Amino acid sequence: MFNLSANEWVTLGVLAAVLLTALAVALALFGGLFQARSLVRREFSAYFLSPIAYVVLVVFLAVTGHLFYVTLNLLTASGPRGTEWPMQTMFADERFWLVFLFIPPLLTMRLFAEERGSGTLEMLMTAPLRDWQVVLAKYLACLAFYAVLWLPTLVYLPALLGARWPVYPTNLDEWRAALLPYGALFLGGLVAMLLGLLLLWPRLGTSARVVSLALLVVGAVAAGVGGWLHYHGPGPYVLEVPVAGDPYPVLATYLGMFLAGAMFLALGLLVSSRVQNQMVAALVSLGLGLVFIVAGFWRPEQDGGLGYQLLYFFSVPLHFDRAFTRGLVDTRPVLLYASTAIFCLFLTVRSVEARRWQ
Amino acid sequence: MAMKQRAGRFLSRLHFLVRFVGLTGLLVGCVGLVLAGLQGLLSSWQTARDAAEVALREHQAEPGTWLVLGGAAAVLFALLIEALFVLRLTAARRSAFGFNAVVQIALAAALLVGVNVWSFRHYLRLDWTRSQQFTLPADVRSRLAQLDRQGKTTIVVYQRHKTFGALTDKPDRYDYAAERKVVEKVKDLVEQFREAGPQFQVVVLDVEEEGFDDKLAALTKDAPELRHAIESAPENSIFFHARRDADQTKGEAGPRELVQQLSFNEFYRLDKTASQEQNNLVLLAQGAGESGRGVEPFARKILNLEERRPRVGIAVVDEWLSTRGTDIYGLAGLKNVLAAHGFDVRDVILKEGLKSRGLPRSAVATWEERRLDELDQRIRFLDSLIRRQEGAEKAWAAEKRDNDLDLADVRLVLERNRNYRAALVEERGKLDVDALREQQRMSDLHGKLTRLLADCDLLLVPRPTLYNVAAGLDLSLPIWLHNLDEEQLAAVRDFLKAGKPVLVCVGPPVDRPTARIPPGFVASDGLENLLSRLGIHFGKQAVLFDAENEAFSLRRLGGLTGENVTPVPPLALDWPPGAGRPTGLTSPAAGLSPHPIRSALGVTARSLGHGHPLELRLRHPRPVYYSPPPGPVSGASALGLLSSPPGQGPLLAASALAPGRSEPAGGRAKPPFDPEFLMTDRASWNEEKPFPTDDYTPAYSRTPDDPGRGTLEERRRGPFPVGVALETAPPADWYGPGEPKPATLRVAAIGESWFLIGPELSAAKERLVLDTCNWLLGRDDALPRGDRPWSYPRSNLTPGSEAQQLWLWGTRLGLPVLFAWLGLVVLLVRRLR
Repeated sequence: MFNLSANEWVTLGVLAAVLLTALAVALALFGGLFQARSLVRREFSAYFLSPIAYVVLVVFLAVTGHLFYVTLNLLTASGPRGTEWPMQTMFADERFWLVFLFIPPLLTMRLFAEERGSGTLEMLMTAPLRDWQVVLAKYLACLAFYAVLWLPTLVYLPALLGARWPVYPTNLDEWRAALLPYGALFLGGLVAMLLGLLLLWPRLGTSARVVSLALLVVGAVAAGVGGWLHYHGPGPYVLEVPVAGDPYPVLATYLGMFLAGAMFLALGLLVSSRVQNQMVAALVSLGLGLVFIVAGFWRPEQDGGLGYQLLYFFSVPLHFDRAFTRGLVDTRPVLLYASTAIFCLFLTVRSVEARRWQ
Repeated sequence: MAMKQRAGRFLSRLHFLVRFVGLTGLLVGCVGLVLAGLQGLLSSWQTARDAAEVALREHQAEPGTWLVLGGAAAVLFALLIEALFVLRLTAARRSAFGFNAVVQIALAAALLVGVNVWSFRHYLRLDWTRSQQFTLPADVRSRLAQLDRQGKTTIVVYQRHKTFGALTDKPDRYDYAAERKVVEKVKDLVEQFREAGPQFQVVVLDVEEEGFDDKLAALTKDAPELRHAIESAPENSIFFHARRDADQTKGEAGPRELVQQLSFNEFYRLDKTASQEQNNLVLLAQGAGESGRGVEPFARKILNLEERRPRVGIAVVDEWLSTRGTDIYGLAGLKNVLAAHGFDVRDVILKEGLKSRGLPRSAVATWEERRLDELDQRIRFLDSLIRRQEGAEKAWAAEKRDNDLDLADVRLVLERNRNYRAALVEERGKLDVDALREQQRMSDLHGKLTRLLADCDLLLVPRPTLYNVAAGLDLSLPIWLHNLDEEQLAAVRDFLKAGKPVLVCVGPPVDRPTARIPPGFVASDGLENLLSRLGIHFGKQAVLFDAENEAFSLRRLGGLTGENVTPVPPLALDWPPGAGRPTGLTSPAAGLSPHPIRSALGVTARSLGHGHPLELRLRHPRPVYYSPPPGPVSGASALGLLSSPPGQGPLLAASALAPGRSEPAGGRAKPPFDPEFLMTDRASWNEEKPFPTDDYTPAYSRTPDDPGRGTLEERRRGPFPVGVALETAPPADWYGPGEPKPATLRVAAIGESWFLIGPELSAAKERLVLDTCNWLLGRDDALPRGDRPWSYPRSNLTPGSEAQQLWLWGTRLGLPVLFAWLGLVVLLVRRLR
């Protein structure tokens, strides 16, 4: 049926095996996290009850707000000034990275160090959860708060992208044309996601939780597939937001920020699992984070030599300066962030485990 | 028990010692790395490895190398002992779990390193931009993939901080902003090329940077041609440098250097006029391709590193008019401009005997041939002089006049003459005397000129005549001085017949009132007739400008002595269709789109901004008209495939001309664009007697009994076309049966020649020369184009508007305050009992 060589079949087989394994691992982790949902909820809500989270939020928004101010001034400047890549002006700036450096340590310092310091870790360890579930639950909660931290910055986008008022079908015929065939799938997916989220709110039993999560996942898949097919079709569309700028660099930047944050948070979590004092945890993870950020202040010459390539490989600000903020997704930083995050989480699990046989 | 305790303490201290050694080794290694880096040993893996090998084999190395090696040895030793220690621990049953964990961590770490090393070498850059801004066009990528990945190409980005300010003395914020942006774009493009092939190395040279000289010296240590190219670059440029194996057939000893140059302007060009109008920075992407990002000119240079430089033959009547001629008449500036933009130049001398009192005779020689004769003459003269001076010195010395001042003077002069002679002999030694003598023996002028022009791609014929007649400086040359004889003319026609382009720059054929044309010479020779066969008609008068009236009056009163007291108005680049003809006459090309050279000059002019015209001023030009000769429709001309503007396919010509009152349409098809590309200002007139005398001052007045009335020679007010460039089918009667005939040939004429002369050309004149040469050579993609603008994106918010202020302050202050309020509320709620 397929005219493939033996090598190609082997490659396809290996890829399929890897994908199946990844899927199995993801399902197992998802199952484990579902068991630890109370811990996730507790850790996540703890952020909103702690003043440090609000301090982080306020400082973060003050800095990004100032950078937005600078960027918008350039976008409305007169004369030969301007910015070709607004996201670059905002997020490749040294000031942003100077502040960003402090955020993951502040978010992660309390995760284990506080429990260890106050002696509640032993109690947590007696819960009917495995070590990796504890670690992942804390990590997921922290990552979720990190994502929440970024949500207010979405407010900047209409101005940065030059968005105009949304356009939607105005009569029945247009609605019919917009909904068929993929618009309906897209909207249905969104409704299912919303329903799933709403069902998560009240305290319901396990079966209801499973249903709400299933609605969320199925809805996300339906919305993703339906949206892709709908918006790649000829139109009319159920909702269209005309933008003057290029939205893809924005997408790439947020993806990069999420992955970079995931790495720094995992690093902070590892440090927090090793020390008792929160301040020490914050300082050590700040020091480790500096390794990945310091080259951003250096601004080396892009000569293409090995030195520059190595520096670029490890420098998160350079990744954003040269790639993400300009709509380029480079697999090197993506893999670096993901692999370092996974490695740090693995070490954290081992670190927590080590307490049992010390 | 005590023994056991003592042994334990000993082992503990030993362990401490080993760890101390390891840590100290790490410190020393780091110091060594810093030193090695300063000594340049870490510039690549290869240099680092070589340094280590030299140190280990020959025991000779820099201190940095020793420190690195020593430190590494200490660290390795400590790690080995640590590993043994861990093994010893794992031997105990209690540590088995711990060992298991250590192995897992080690494996995970190895996986982490392995995955990242693999990704470092094999990566993808997914271009998510809407217009695929960071993706090279597929054809460029496929051609780059065919390049030798081992052969290194160095891309030098040379910032001289003179790009868009080259045309004006005072670069402004637009020029500087454009330069910064173009540097960014160059770096982006280089990065994309590097993704396509690891053989590209980039060096940024900034003349304002600290240590520029050292960096340049290091870069060009073994690359003299690159150094020469960098040093002679007039503006910000990008150089592409590579080495290839020596070409033994050309007798080259070492590897050949290949250097290509691209100025920033050939990549992106500033449109200052549009920038000022739009209150933005508007750059114009150059090059012929469709990327609109300047990729194509960049790729063309990289892919054609071995491209032969086009050669321009310059045919002049004497050495002093050549590119190595005098400051007053020489073309040194022209040569510099052409050389700096990738052309080779060859002088061809067409007369001899100009320095003697008699009339000049036709000849054909290279500058080197003439130089050889001159050197021989000077050496002979010096020989006789030195002999005389030696005799005098001997005689005076014999008279024991050692202390005589005259004798000392003679010795000094003698020494100076000997040195001078030695220098001349040395220069002569560098000439290929045998080959030059062989060339000099050729008496067949047609054959010799044909041979000299054979490897030229373009022939330039400068014929300066009138020189600022109002200023009183008597530098004007008579037109007859430039006459070509039949044999020379035949060689030029053969050059044209081969489809090679010719640029003729010829001033007005008018001379001083007292001057007479010597017998055997004519005012308008066969070259003009040759060009008229192709559709170029030269006017007989000089164009004078109203601005010169005052100068003429002052001259008459004896009040003007300077040279450039009255500047003439710059040439117009924008004129209505059909302009430049006497009333009632219609240009055969009226209504056609502008010539590519004119459009290119227009784009250059736009980089100057409002209120700053392109300083392209020609004094006393002669009108040059496009006037197709009567004849049958032929070849490409008939099909309307003569040529087309850059970026467009061949255009079908418009229908045959409507018959004008006195200009023949001749049944030929119209060219796709107006061949007339230079036009004088309106405030001018055509004058047959431009030289002011005691009883005559040139001035415009209507002449009712003008014999030229109704023709192109009619005395009238401006504007006048003074430049024509066309691509046309060569006349069929030039070719014998079976003789190969090119479909078209390109030819251009400009009605003035002094603009080419002098030790340097102004930026505007430089552009005129380059654009004309590039068009004639068919390099239309090298002409500035203005159809692909780039500018900064702008928000739809009006600056200073309420909406903008709301955005600015709402996000800068509103959001943080909102969350601060929320935090405080949460705090208050938590305190609630």
